[in-house]
Amino acid sequence: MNTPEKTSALPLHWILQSDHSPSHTLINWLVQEIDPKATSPIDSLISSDTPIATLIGYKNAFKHLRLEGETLDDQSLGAIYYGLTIASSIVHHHRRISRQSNRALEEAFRKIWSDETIDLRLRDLAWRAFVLLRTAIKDSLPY
Amino acid sequence: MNSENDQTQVNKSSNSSAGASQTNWKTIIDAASNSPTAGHSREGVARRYWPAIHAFVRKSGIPPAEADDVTQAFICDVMLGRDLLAHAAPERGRFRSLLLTSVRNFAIDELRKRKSLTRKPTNGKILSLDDDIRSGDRNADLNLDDPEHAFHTQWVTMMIDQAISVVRNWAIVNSQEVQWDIFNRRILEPMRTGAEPISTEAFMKQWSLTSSAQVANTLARMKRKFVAALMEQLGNYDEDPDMIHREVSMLLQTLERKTR
Repeated sequence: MNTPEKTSALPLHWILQSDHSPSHTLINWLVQEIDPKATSPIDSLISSDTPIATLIGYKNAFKHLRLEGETLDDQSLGAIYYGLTIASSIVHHHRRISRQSNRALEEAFRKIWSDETIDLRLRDLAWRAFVLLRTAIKDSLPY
Repeated sequence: MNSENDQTQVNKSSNSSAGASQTNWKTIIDAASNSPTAGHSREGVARRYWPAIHAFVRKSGIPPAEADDVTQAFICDVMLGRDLLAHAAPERGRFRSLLLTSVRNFAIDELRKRKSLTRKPTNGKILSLDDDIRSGDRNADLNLDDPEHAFHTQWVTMMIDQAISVVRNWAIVNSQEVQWDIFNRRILEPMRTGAEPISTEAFMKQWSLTSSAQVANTLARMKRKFVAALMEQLGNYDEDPDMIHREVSMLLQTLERKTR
């Protein structure tokens, strides 16, 4: 994940990935920094092919953004994607990659699911993680 | 050509940054005015656009030994002498297009002059440069595609250099040397010189960082600063965000073509 692509071959393509939301742009670049082959944060998170190691990389990067983001928007979006990455690991790998309590995770997933500004595919991911966490709690998802 | 223009000697070696940071529409408008700072603004504008103009002239078939003089002549006679700057206005569109059209016409005139001196009539008819282009004459001196590409490449280089300068200054003023170093050696240097990008692990070791997430976030944040600086540069010429986005696309395509 930490082997950079040779940027001289694709000089400044990342500039065109910037959209009208500076915070979403930041998320795009973070995801690409961790997985240069990633096409978009949404695709990476909803795909069952994204390896658990990559999800852990995303989670750490989003956690850092949540805590150290330059703006409130950055921090807020960092928190949402932090939760979504944990949701992705639960849904696609049946693994928890967070030591957050079940209650905290359920609350985070429920909040994402009810936020209509978030892409529907991501809200669906959060919902599925919420259900899995609730129903699989007795079987205890491995950390 | 007025006397002030006559005195405007452009030093091509000083074209990169001196006077460039202040060059935008305000400077162009000031250069076209009679304000006390007009002379300084004209000097700044001339320095800033020398590389793009020279690249066009050079690629249009003007011999290398004469390219400097022709560029100098264009800047003094057309850009400053014929008040090209006075015809430039934000509402009339991009300054780059205006400049390109002017330098193209100037180069065609120059080549025509040279041809008329060297070419003898064939069967009583003097072939025009346009005839050469229409007939696809491979020996024609002017290939309009290459000079324009050279011009755009120099233009985008200027914009990128300026954006880099803004970000570097921001990092210095805000004591963000680590962030600058990571961005520079991972993104900018590989892009500009083909140097191997430094790995995340190497940065962590060098700067005693505890997590790769710090490096990833630094890179993303610095990219955003760079894009903001680049957009500001372009915004100095065009305030329509969609137009700026199209401009960026075009400029990047130019760069991509250069690296193939």
